[in-house]
Amino acid sequence: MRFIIFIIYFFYSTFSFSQNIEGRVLELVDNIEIPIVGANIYLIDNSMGDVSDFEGNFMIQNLNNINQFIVSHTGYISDTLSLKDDYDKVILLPDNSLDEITINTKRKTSSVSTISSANILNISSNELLKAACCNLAESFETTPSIDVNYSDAISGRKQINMLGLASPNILISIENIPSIRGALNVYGLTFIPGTWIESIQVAKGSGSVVSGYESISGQINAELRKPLSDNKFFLNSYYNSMERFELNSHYSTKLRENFDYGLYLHADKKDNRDDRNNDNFGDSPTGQQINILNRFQYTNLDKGLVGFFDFNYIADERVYGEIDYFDPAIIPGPPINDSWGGSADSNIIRSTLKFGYVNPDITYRSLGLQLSYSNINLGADFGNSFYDTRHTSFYSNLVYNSIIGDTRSKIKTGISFTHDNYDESVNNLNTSFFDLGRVEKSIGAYFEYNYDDLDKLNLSAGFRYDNHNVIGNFISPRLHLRYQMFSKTTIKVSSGKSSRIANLFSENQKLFYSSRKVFFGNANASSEFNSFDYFDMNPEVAWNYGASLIQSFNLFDRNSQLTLDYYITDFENKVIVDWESPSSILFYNLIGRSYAKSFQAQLSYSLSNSIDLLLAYKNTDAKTDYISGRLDNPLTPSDRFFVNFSYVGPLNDKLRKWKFDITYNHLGNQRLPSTVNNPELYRLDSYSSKLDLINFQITKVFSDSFELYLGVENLTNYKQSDGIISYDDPFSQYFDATMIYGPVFGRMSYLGLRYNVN
Amino acid sequence: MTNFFLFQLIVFFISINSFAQTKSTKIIVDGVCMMCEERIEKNIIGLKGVKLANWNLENRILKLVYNEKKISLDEIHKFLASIGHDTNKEIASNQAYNLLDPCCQYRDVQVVKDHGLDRKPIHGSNKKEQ
Repeated sequence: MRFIIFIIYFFYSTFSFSQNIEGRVLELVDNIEIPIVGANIYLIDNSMGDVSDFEGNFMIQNLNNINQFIVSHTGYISDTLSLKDDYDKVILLPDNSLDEITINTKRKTSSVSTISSANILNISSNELLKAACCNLAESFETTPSIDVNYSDAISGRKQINMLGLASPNILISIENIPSIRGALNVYGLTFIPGTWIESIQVAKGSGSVVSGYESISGQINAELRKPLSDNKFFLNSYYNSMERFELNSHYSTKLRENFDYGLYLHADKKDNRDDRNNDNFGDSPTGQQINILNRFQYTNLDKGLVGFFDFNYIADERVYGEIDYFDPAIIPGPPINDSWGGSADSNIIRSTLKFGYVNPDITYRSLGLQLSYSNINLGADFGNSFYDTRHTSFYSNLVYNSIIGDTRSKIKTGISFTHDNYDESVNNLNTSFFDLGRVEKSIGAYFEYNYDDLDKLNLSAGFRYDNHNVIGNFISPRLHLRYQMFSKTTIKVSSGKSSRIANLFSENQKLFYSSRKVFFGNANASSEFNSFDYFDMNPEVAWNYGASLIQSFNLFDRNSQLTLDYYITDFENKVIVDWESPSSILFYNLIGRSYAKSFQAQLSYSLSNSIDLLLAYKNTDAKTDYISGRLDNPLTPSDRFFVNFSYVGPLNDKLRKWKFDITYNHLGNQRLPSTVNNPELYRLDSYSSKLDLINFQITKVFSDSFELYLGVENLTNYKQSDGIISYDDPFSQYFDATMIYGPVFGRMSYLGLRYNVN
Repeated sequence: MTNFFLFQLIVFFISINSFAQTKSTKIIVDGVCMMCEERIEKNIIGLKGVKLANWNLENRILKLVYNEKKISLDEIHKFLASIGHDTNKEIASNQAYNLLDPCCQYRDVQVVKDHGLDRKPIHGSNKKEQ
């Protein structure tokens, strides 16, 4: 947003034959008048004109006595003016549509920065439209760096993996406030509706020290829509073949000078129980969600002040299980449920306050304060088990930005404070009970130095020191380096240490969709398992090292980019979650090694102005030392091949009437946790079969404000047939719905509309 | 609430322009392309005493923050002219100007047009007559 206005003073003097129009074009920047050079001023009949000089002065001879003239300047809307008075003042408005007029090269909807030292992938809201994603977890379906999987065969919930590691290893923040953590670690992504998201930044490897000590395999930040820049009104509705209905609506308004307000609503509902794979279990839960976000935005650029106040409330109810299961809360009477099932209720309150100050004269000096409070209440039952958790969290972070010498050397420093209060109770199969009340609090200070020589080298070195009531005192060093070897070749390296406390029940909630019994123990002495408990599990510590090469080149006069990257995450300590013996789940501290090595090659190529192609290959080698020996991490495909082909109607076509998008995913074999001790009927192969999945979507743009989209997920109608072991006897010790490597129900089609008012 | 007070206090401290030696100003520097931008910004930030240099291609304004004790604004104007860029105070010598890359020849009306810019050079008198 530019705050520049033009002021034109003009006088015309009368001579016997002609008039001269004289004037001055000025621009007002922070109340300082600066002459505008090169503004065009010409008479409406185009007979005479002039360009303002370096003092902003101009003069036009007006021979034909024309009394209208035009003022124009690049970046501003031209204005036609009339000669009426001796003196006038004109304000030209900045032309916000300028980008669409002058930029002929397309901006990719997702792109890896070659300037930043961290390996950051930026995903714009246009990329998010490629899949009609319902929530943040699903918005990564067209991003090969991130894998999106179903967590189990019953809950219908999706979770993500990056660099071969599950989402608790990723620091996920909303507008730079760590948010998807604690009780929300795995499923929290599903509580952020896709349409609310403005853009997403994905950083592979250890992230910046500013956001905390937790980012083991990477960092994902989602920017939400902002009331100041958002459309006045937006409506999205979505309906799919599983009879799930969704509604998203945004409304924004200016309350008064410098104050904007936005109301963001999401609601979804699914009533019917369908069982398309004939295992007597509902394919996905029934239930509804209501999600309300209020945003107040304060912007005063003259004083350099910006602020946000957000209040978010989420209520979510799900019922799942066998199709003849009914929630006793809904159907009153004695609980004579001989069917397996349960319901999950989530109530979340989240409120944040952010304040930033930028010195208007010295823009490199700024201060930011982030405060966040959240209260998460989850209560769920699963057959004979239940899991209740209440997590109250307070977070604050104060960041100061400045420079050393000049803007090539920047520093960021600050302090942050986190307080988490957990109240968890677990009933595991009516045989073991856990009451896990605990407080985790930490205070830390950090310093990050960034050097940019404005040419080839960019370096970022960060260091933080934290005091944590469980982990103790520890340091988290981070280093990122970018070097441009040749004009089109950039290399990046990074390394860093991260720590975190695993939230074992929250992160492994899918265990409740099985008859597995929970044990805590010691990797060396499996016989003494019950002498250990939850609090004997140590904090997780890991180092991450990575390198990437970005090569841009022209192929048949078209821009293409090849990216190769390789990351290693090496755990010093990890709480091993051992699924290797059926009917039990063991937690113990790592003895030996646990690592994840991930290689990715990605090629993006523009076939024409309207067609883009993205090819990616990913190889993951993730292994852990279990009691039973070193094994591949379960349910992690060793190979993945990805193709995305997208078509957006020609650029010069004002409406871009059609958009078309198709994504192909090939997933290699995935190791399944061992089932050899089960009766033969309930055994699975040791590796899953390979999968080929195709999604596509067509969007028809009717006008700037209205579009319709239609899509199909899992076009080839793939169904994992053995998604639930012992589905015919879910109360047996063999029941297990956690071994999910592909879609459990077949093809799904959807239809939606988007409507907005500017 | 204490946090907010602390915040206000710190805001007050950063508003003070570190003992009044740091000056912020804007000048006009002619140029036509990203190469010009890079040349201007990279060379200016390399000067001792300059803390921030940010040139805008659209309106040709160079935002500057510098330490008055180490460098004067006149010196910055002269330096820009010496690397071939006209400013609202100094005109570059033809010798310095001719060293610029052909695509950066901002005094040539055709070059300006080729960059999709609808404007005249700052120093019109200096442009080539054809």
